[in-house]
Amino acid sequence: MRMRSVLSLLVLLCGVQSKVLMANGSDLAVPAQRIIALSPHSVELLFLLGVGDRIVATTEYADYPEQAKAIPRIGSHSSIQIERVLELDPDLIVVWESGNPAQDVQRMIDLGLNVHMSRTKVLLDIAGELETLGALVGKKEQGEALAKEFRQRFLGLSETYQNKAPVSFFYQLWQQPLRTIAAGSWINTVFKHCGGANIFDDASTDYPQVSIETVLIKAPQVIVVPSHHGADIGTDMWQAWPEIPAVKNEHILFFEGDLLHRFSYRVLDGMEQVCTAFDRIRNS
Amino acid sequence: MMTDKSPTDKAPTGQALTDQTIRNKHNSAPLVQVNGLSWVVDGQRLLDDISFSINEGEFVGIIGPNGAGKSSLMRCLYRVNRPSEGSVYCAGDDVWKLSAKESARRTAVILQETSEQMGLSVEQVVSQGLTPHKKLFELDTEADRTLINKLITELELESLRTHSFATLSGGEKQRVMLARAMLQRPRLLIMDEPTNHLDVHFQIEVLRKVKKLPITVLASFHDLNLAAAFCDRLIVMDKGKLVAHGSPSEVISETLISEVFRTCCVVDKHPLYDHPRVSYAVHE
Amino acid sequence: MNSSVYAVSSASAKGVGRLLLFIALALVSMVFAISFGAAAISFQDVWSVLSPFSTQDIEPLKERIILELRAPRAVLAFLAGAGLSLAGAVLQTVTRNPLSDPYLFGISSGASFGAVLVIAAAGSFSIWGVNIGITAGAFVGSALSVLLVVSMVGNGAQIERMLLAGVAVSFMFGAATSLVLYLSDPLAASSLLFWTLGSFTRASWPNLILPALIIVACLVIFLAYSRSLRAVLAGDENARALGVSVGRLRMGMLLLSSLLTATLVANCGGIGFVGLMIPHIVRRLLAQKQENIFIYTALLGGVFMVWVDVLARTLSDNAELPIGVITAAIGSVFFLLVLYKKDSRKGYQ
Repeated sequence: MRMRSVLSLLVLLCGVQSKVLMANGSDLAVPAQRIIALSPHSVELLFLLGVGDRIVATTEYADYPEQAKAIPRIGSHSSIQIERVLELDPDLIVVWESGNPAQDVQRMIDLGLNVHMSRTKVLLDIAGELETLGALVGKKEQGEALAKEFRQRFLGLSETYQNKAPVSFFYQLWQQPLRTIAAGSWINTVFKHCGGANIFDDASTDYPQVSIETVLIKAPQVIVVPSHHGADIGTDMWQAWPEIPAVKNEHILFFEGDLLHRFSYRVLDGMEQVCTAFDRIRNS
Repeated sequence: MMTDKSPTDKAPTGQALTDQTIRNKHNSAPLVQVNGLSWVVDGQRLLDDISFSINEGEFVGIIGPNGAGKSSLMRCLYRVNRPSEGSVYCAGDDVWKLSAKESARRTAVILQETSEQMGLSVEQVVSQGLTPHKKLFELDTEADRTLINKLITELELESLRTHSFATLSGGEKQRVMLARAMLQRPRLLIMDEPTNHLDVHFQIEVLRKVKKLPITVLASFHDLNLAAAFCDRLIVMDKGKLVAHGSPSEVISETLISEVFRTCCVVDKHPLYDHPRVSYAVHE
Repeated sequence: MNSSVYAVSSASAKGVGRLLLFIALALVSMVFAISFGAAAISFQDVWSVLSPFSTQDIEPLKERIILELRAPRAVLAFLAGAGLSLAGAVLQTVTRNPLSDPYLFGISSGASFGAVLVIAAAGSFSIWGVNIGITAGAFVGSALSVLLVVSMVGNGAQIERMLLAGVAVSFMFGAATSLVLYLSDPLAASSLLFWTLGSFTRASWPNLILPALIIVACLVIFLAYSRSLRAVLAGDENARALGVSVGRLRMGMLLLSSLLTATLVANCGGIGFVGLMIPHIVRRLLAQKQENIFIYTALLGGVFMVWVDVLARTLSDNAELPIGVITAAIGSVFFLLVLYKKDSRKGYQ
């Protein structure tokens, strides 16, 4: 069980491309009306496409937009109640390769359900996912328009900030034990394109456990602290180390974790906040 | 047929003492006084109304068939089985009102079985005998070392001193146990089947050594001839009751053995010594 | 007679020499361990910071890294190794089972469960709140597991019942911990998992006070009762005949071991196999010596853990390996070797 949650996490935060997997070659001409969306970000994307009211069930932590909280829950990252899925008689199930248990997904495919496997793994996959979902729910144009807008906004931010003087940063993913992200993590993309330089770019794993000492030596200009489902992560321990420029200059930034950790359209809002904050620090 | 004594069925036991005489620690008072002792477990009277006494310096044997209650009776004397009724006095005090340590300073025990002692050496096992004489933190003194060395020499354990206890033969282990018991400096030595697991040579050797010791001994026996040879007095037990009590020649009779042990035999005088000899009718 | 007196005093001189050797080994290990780490700090740097005689100047940052990060961490590693080994040694003695350790009695899993529950419930918040909460959670968890074991055993405190109850309780709390991990969100679950695998990253001087006090207190108590504990090795009935109240002693030692374990689990997460392995090695090294094993167990356990932490910090660039993974890897191989040797030699040596 533990292994699975680790695996699902590691994959969850990793990245590749999304592509549509039509399990039964189902009829694309008929837009899906009863959707089960098994990840928080697919719920967000479906609401964005204007078909949030067609979602009949979802999983834990699907909390955006506000209406999403009212949708019945039938599973989590670690399991899906297949019987409830059958009971709800969906015509489309949006699963997430990295966030749903593979055996449950396979079971749903074997049962002949119409399963769309989302494989978002890098930031720009979100655009592709918008197009695919749009086509599946009969909102092809909206999907394409949103995807285009997503890419443009992303490139706009990237062009403005990526090549500015790099700002070195430490991303405090978790406090106890102290964990961060490395170059392989898709979250890193946001920072890279804002002109940030991750002090753990060269770490051997994507989500390494690190020591305060290493952070001290790498002397980041900024410490980024994502909130975690509303709760703030402790940063008290940094106050003892004014040797770190980020601490000395009080450049400890707090961001909403859900903006940065989720493959939703809102990640651009998070990116915008990061870019502006970094730029302010860069110019200070 | 040379029964020189009449059967002592339901023989009267040691004279009953009043509290007055028990507190009287005059030399003539018995060292051990058992009064009306019963031990009841789950409604079963495993020991039933047993009374006897042992005088200072006596060697007393307990005989009886398997399950007669020999070990249970001895356990009441060294504070493992708490009597349900009656009392056990040792050197003037109720052993169940003494502290465990004080009782262990008066009574040493050699059991049939000991654990493998988890790698302790012969010397370490012998020095366990100091336990009841030492307070917390108290280390061995020079006098202790001298006494340990003396006992190790006396019991011919010199060459085994550093050997692991677990690797010794049965006879060697028994000698180590005897050395440990002597280091306890007890007034009473209790031995449960001291000759068990030993060959004839060691059986006699161990009992000779014990016999020479200037202390009071209570030992259980299966071998009636050994009991007759070494004990000053015998206690006969059957089904939790004391059925006979007296000197070996008073107690060991053909009638008693056939009743208590359900075995036919001939009892005559030992050809070399004064005590009786039992010869069993082994063939049908 | 003279010669035997001489033999005794020379034996005790040898004992003092051996003790000093072990203490020196511990100190040298810690100083060396402090010179390993991400920042380039040499052995000389460490020496000049720690030695009162050194006049050499050193960068303030290096000095702070040595004094505030590495030194408390080395001390915590030492304490954890010493404490867990002591807990193992005393449990092995009172149960006469060479394979006993805090894990076998459900103490570790109870403490882990309590700590994990607190971390999961709190999400993650200010470091002070977390510290106090985790420690309290670990204590409550381990106390609960001991209570369960004790209530199953009753007055007699027989070893077999104790071990069986311990194994059952251990599985029960293991399942409860798994459930908490299962119900947590993925990020929290994986971080909790990291935590249960053990780490010394929380080391700071204030955090060391409680574990140090408890370990020293337990060591003193174990030394005080060492004679009774050695008598227990003879078997319960033998020990009673030697004047030892076996049931009470065993229960007391079980409680002390759980106190030790809970303190350390709260500070370092779950670290297994140390309590099993170190007492074995010490018994093997000092098997026939008339000396107390507890001091050596604590020293050797501490040294072992200090070096395990060095491995954890240096095996992988820029990242730390969980302590429990390393100890379990070394310990399980050791365990198998012990079983293999036991089997082939027939009987415990």
